[in-house]
Amino acid sequence: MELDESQAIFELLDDKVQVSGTKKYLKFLLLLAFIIVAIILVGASFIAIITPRLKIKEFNELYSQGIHSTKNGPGFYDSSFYALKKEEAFLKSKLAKSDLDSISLSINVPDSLLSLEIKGIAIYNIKIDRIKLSPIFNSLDKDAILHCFSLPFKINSQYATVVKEPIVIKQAPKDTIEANQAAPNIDTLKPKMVAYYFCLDKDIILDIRQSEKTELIPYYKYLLRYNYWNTARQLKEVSNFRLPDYTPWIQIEINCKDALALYRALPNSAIISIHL
Amino acid sequence: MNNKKHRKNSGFIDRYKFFVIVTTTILFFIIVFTIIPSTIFIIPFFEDTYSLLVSKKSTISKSDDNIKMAQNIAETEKNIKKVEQKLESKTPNVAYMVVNTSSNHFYLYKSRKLLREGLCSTGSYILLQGVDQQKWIFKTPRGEFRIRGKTTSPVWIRPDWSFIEEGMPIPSAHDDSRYEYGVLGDYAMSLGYGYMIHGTLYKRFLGMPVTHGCIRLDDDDLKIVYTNMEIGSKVFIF
Repeated sequence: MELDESQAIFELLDDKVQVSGTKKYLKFLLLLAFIIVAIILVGASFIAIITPRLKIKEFNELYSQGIHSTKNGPGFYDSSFYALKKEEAFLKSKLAKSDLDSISLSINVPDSLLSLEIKGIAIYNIKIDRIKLSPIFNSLDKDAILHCFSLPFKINSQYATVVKEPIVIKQAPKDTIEANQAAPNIDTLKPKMVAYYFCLDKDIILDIRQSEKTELIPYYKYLLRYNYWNTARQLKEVSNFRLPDYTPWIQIEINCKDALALYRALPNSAIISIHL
Repeated sequence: MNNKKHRKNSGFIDRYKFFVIVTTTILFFIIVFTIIPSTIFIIPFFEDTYSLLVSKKSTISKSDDNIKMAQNIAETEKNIKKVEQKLESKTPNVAYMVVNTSSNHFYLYKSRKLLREGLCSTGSYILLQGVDQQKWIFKTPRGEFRIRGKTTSPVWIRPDWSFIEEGMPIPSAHDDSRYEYGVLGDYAMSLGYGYMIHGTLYKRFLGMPVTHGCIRLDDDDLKIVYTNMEIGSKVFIF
């Protein structure tokens, strides 16, 4: 009887020890979660503060070389003259790519116009419904912008929610009976969402999306992919003890049909002129 | 009595264990599915917000030397006109055609004005796989082409894939079954490499990607295109 009682007491003590252990474990978990959140927030804030500043400095140094010493000097431009100079830079860029055989793209932000071109001939114009520019463009040196945008950009890499060539594989029928039974393959399916981004040389992202409302899932999937690419790249830099890089972006919305036509028309390494 | 107490305590401990497991799982899911994705959005958002805060429009100051500024403006305007003229000279004055293979539309321009637009049919993007690893892809090529030849009442000489596609045996090169009359419409214009602009019997498929790479037009459109396009006229396909 006494033995039973002492055994029960010991078991109860054991249980109490376990309860306090789990409490500690819970506290540890909460602390861990808090630390993770704090690290992420501090890291994100650090990256967010440091990267645009570095980009402005890097961009100005890279594209203003030898220009500051010219007759214009910094702060020389008044708004109308600067607009003219930007137009001149854009036309120069268009002229530079006008000898190319492949299809190229021109983006005219002030006129809200996209143009597909071959050898300098505008073969198709698309009206831009909405345009957003990375705020950093306002902080860049004007001479540096003119210098950078007076030459065309090239697509280095890209991601899209649609395929470039909607190829359908069809096995040859064995005989005429099988051929007659086969349904005609006509690609009339409307894609769920048309969106893509081009990573250009000179480190700028061109993000083109359909302006029509779309289903939420494919939209957020695209958004996640778009932001993941950027953030992952920055975190990789940080993990290698290097300062991360901020990539300025240009976001354009056009109608779905034109967005699809544009994506499929442009070659993988297409050349692009931009008028900011 | 003790057993009862013991059972009560062990029930309490089980609930605790359950609670710990649930909390751990929830925290794990919060980290994996909330914090990590939100970080992906937080950093770009913070960056843009911050760069918006630091972005001060570079000071636009009027130059003290107004004459110099006026000279610069005049010089730039002159340069712009010069480049614009160079670019404009690249657009043909004669008739040329633009084909949009995504929406299956064509545009005919003459003297830089739109003369006609309408539906067409372009390549279906079908990859036909025959026996013996033979493959054919039915797509309309993109880029700049020229009209290389013009014919009226064209005859279609059926290539091998046309028989394979229909499950028929391939006849000899000059077999009668290869020659089909009236299926290409009244006119045909060759773009080279076997591609043509021609008419069609399947008018209900205009506006859809159904061809083997050629560009099919409606009879009326075809006549206008044929009349205006000369040998050497440019066709831009995108």
